Amino acid sequence: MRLKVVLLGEGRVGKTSILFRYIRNEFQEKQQSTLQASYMDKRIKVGSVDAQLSVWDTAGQERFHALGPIYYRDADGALLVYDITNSESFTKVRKWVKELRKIVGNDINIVIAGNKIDLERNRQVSEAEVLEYAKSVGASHFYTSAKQNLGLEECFNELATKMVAQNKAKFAGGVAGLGVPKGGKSKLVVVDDTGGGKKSGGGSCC
Amino acid sequence: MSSLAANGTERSSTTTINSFPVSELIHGKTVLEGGVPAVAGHQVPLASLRASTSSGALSNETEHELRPLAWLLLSECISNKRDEWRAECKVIDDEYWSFVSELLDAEPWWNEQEWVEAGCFDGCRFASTRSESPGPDPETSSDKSSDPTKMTPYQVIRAPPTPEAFLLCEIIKDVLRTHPDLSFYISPPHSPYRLLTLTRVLYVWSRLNGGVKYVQGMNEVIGVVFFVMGHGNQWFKDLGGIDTDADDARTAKLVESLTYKVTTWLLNSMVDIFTPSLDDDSTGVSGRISTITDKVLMHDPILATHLNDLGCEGTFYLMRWITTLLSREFTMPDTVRIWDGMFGSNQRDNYVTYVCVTMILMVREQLLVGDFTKCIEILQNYPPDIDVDEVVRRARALFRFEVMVREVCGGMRCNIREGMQHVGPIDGVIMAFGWSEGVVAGDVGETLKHVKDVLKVGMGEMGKDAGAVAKKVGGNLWGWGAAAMQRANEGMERAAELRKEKDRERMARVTMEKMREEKERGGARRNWAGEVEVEGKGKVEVEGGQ
Repeated sequence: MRLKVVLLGEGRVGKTSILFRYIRNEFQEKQQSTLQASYMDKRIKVGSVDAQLSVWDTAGQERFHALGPIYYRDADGALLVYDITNSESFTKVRKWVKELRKIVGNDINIVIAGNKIDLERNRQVSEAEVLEYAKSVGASHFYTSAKQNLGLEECFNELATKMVAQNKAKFAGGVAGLGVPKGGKSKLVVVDDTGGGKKSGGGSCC
Repeated sequence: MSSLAANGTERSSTTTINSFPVSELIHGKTVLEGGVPAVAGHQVPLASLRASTSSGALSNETEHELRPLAWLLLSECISNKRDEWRAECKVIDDEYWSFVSELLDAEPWWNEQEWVEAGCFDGCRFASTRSESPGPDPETSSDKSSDPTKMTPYQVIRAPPTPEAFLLCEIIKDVLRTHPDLSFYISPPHSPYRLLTLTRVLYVWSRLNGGVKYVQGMNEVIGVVFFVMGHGNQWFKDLGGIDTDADDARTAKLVESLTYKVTTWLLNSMVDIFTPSLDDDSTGVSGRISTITDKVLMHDPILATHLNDLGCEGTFYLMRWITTLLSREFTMPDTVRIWDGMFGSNQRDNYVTYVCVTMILMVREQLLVGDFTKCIEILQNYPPDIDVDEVVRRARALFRFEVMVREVCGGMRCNIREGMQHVGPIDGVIMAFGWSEGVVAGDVGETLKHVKDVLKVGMGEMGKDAGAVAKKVGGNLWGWGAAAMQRANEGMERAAELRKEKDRERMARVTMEKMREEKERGGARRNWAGEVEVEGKGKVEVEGGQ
């Protein structure tokens, strides 16, 4: 099963570092800025399912925003990253959720990651606010630190589990017959355990 | 990289590019063999300097120190009149530093010394300061420091009081991670001051170009310019009329203002790339990407179709190639070599386009057997073992070949295939108009067979059905060829008519002869524009091997 994931978030929140740590277990203090989008993939096992995560790491700066849709249009999941020491970056997460719901719809699974948790003492984003927001849009939330390798496995596993469940649901629903869910976005089946949240999220956006 | 210096003679005998030592061109001292002065008078012969620079003369051990001057001359930041350099440099210096004092030093939240001492331009200290000694509690600090003159640098960074402060902080964060592999930028004691220079240059340019502001990637471009300019201190002392050994600070200031000048020249022509509203314009980023992918499609339809089938879009890798002028794809010395060609070219956009096309063609064998992941990996992490001198040489060959074929087709009113046969292959061409090495192999049927053979090898490894893929690609080749074939047929009909008229035939032959002659001279007199260089009379070809 091939699952496409896109990393979105403001510039310098640590998207590239998260990906490098997760996929290659490497960390660079001075990670160069991402100027377009870079691609990496990883094979994982979700329960009994073999999945290939195809991850697009996108550029965060506003300038590159307009070119974003080609990366997230047919994505199965999105990891929205913010920096806990930068409240502006969390505002950006809200914008991304709106944009994704508007353009991709409710089929895209969203996980929110509060990165740089190693800088807890400089925290600017309140935990209560984040958790409430995540719940309201039917997204899971994790704290991560690419530097100290915290929370990344959990984060991607959660996203993968959601995506696999959704893909299975699609097969069960008999959407197309070709095996590749790409493009054949269905509005009907969403299997999730945060149904209430998801509905309210969808309702407020669509 | 240094291979050019080592095999300089060998290389120049194959490329037959008339290349003078840059020192002679710039200083005008030496006399050529045979007693003919290479350069006379008080002017630097810019056309010769272009030719030498783009053929890689500055990579030579003894010449590379002249690169800062060569780039200044070729970007026309200073004129070619030696006597006026000092005065011109003074103007550049004064202008830049007045911008700095007006746009930056006048800001209430800015104090250069304080920022440097606080470690704002020290990458490691910056990070640790942020995490371990956060200073005043950020929750309350924003209230206390409503007066920007009293804000500490880190308060400004955490909560920039004005859009200008925000801009500067954005720039600093990227400057700290610009070329983090180069000791030029990371080694103390110079590191903080060099990063400060990058910051100031970027900030001034961004303030003066408010419509574009600062876009990530500009830092990479400036990083290359300053790296080169920063290695030319001895010349700049002379240019600035500064005593040797004395007054390093003044030299540094001049280097910074000259860096700004060259940067401005580069960025101003790239403004459209950084402007979202021009994305689809031919000079905007998408337009430039299409220009490159269209050229790949024209010259190598097999490869283009393969990449297209995989969904490997040009945007995925060309975006960065273009916005940083390739500086993120190569090591610094290789980037500088590629840029020599760019400064030496009088058609910069074309140069970059053909270099990008050639970079893709040079890895075509790997790409053809690769799946999506592999192709993206190659193109997003360009193989370090590719020789950039070869890239430049082959890019020029492709450009020259394309121009010549077009000219012949125009002059003889023939189709591209006939045109290619008349021009004959040019050394260095990888693929041209669908034919390997630019060699027309029999008729179109044979070409298609060749396509299929290539695919059998390529697709066999991927376990795909070679026949089906070949059919598809063949279809695309014909699709691509449909217009060309139509033109070809029309051309042949027209050619048949022309053949009846002997006069016209002779005309055609004359055109052809001219082109052949041109080619035999190895295109040495041709520059990037395909124009015949006027200033080339005193030139001799360096036939090193003989």
